[in-house]
Amino acid sequence: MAPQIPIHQSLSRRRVLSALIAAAGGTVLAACGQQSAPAPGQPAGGAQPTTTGAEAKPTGVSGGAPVAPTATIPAGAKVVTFWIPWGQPERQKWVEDWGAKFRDKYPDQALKMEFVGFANMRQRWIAAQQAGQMPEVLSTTFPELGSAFIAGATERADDVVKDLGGNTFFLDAPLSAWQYQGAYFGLPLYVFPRMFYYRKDLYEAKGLKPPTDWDSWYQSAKALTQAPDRWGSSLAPSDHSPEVIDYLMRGQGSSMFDKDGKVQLGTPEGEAAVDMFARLVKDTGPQGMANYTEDDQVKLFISKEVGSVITWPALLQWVAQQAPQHVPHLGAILPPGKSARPKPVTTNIGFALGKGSKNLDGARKYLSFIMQDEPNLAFLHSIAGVFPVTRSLAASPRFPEHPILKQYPEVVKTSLEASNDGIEGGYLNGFNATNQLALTTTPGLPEMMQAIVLENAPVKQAVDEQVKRMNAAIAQARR
Amino acid sequence: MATRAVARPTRVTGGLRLGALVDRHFMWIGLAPAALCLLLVLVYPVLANTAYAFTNKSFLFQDTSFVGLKNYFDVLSDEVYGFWAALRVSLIWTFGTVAMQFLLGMGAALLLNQEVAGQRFFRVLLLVPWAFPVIVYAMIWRWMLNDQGGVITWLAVALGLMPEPVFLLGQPTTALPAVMGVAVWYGYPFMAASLLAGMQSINSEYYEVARIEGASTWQQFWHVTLAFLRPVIVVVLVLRTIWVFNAFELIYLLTRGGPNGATLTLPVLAYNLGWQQFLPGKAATVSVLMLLVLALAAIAYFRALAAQREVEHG
Repeated sequence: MAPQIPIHQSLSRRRVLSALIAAAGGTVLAACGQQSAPAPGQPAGGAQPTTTGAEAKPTGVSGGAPVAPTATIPAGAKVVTFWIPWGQPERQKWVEDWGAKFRDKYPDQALKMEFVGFANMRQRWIAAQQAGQMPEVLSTTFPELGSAFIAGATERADDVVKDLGGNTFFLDAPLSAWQYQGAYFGLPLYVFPRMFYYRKDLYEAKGLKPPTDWDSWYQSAKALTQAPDRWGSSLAPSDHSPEVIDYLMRGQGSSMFDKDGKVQLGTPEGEAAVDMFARLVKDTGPQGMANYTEDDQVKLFISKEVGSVITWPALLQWVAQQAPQHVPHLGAILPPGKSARPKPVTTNIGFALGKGSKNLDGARKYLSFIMQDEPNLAFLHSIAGVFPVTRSLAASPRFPEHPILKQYPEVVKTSLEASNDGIEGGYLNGFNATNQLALTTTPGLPEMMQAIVLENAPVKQAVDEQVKRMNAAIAQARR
Repeated sequence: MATRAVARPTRVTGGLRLGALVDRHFMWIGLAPAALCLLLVLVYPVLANTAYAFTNKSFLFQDTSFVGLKNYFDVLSDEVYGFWAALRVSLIWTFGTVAMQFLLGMGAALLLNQEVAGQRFFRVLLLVPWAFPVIVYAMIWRWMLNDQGGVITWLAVALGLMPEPVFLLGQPTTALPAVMGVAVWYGYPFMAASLLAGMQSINSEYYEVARIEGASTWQQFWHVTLAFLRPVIVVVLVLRTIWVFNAFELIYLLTRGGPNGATLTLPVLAYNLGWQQFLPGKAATVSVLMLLVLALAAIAYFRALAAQREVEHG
């Protein structure tokens, strides 16, 4: 018996190994089989007709990102993969609904939506670019898409812009931002201005008028402040400090960067802007304001007696839903300038075409389709607080007919005017490869403001240090 | 026939040889897939990261080139990168948090090791912090610490501990202790559970002998409990030190490294350099330096453990 044991063992091991190899081989074959007949949940897949069943459903996972439910992808359809930044169900439903209508118009095309989110878009496009797996269409912020274009991750969008009608179709300011070295690196979808929102009732109760310059701005905010029950302003040096500082610089006829991308923060206008910002934070807001996020400052404005805030128009919806008693009292103006009317600071969201994606023809058709009035208006109405970039919708009486926007006719009118005229914060002189890097140094503009507000760092010293960091970031990029 | 007679044994011999080879190296063959996976998911990223640290790679510009030690010189010598300040914050954050987690975990484990009513309930309760995703509890803590109606701030003012509402996460002097407090709340149950498991493996006879010898409660704790727990303590301290040193989400969600850099640790700095500044070369440099710091910590811990064993075994 003894000699049989090793024979038995060796046979058993070999069998185990053979079984494992066979299983691994089978798995590889199965995987290869799937590749030749891609499931709808797979990335891109684009122009190659699928051979799966007509009603195959997405798997729910694609490229490691959560996939919002998309319409079924029929056999033989060319797929337009669309990375969306919006987590809101209303906007995802818009993508789905108009994706179905797009398919009705172009039966050989199908839209596949993937939710990526604003916060994760950068990681996704960088990874996808390295892997050669860019989607046909992606949507996110203007600086992000500009960076993706410089990095070679996206295509020129000139032909789509031209097909749509260029300047006759889009508003001048929202479209002009999307150019870099003569090329359109994307096209706008919507825009929203940062406005100075104020409580008319609080101002009137104190016999104050909306501010018209820096002096009246500071004095009125100070007059309204009765800590800890009432605050003159809710203005935080948060992630959006660059926009506020740029606003304050524009209000003196300057801006954060000149036309060559040179940092202007160290100029007298820059220092005055930082000083004004710091005084408003320190003297007219609550103690913790220096480390509030934008969300915190908006919540404060909604939930307490606060005179003013500079923020985005999503505020309109939040006030209507969470503090409807304030709706009749909400006013909006451009933040006052010191010596000049500031050019409005806007945030721009748009589309870009993924470089190397397989169905660019379908992507162009989709963008041309989705920018038409009906789908575009449906998007703008999916969540109130974003404004049109096309001439027809900006002039259309249908746009302000949204149930929430209707409650604020004056605010909407002012915001529309600002949208039509505004330029992204930090990019008054056009898109520049290094502006974004200079705006996001570590430590950055928010930390500079915190050093001034919390640790009483002298403005000039804090600004000089920040300018040094910004110039280092630019030099690093131009190495 | 002759040819076949020769050829046949040759094939059999070859098959046997292969079989014998498989038998001899079966363990390595069996381990190979797992080792390959480890190489791919662990070793490759570390090597790639180390390689990036010697380049000027940018996510924005394509022209990557070898720059030698320039990234190290830049990060270590140029204050615009804030490495030394971040290292200081990282060390305070790590050692302060781990020490507090350990002390609290030890206290909880000692309490739960007693025969008391509701012992099981309290043991389950210990795991509650682990039931929440970091995003949820970070937001809840942020609200509780808010100066405009946060319950902790309100309580502190009501009890006279604060003269006026202060946003603890918003002050350079209090932000780091506040973030550490949240990390202690989240991390001490791991310490407690690990130490409790260690305590329950100590034979009760040792305590009986100690009592017979006249040992006080403190002496029993010091000479029996701690002596037997030492290997567990070293392991949990090493693990927690590594985890806490590398922690990113909690700090980022609570303060994003602010205010004014008060909570800017090395992982947050690496993230900012890599994903905000598009400088993976610099971010990789910071992470390699982090690896060196952690390696030093791990070596120190394991030397302490080895020295202890030598003492124990004469």
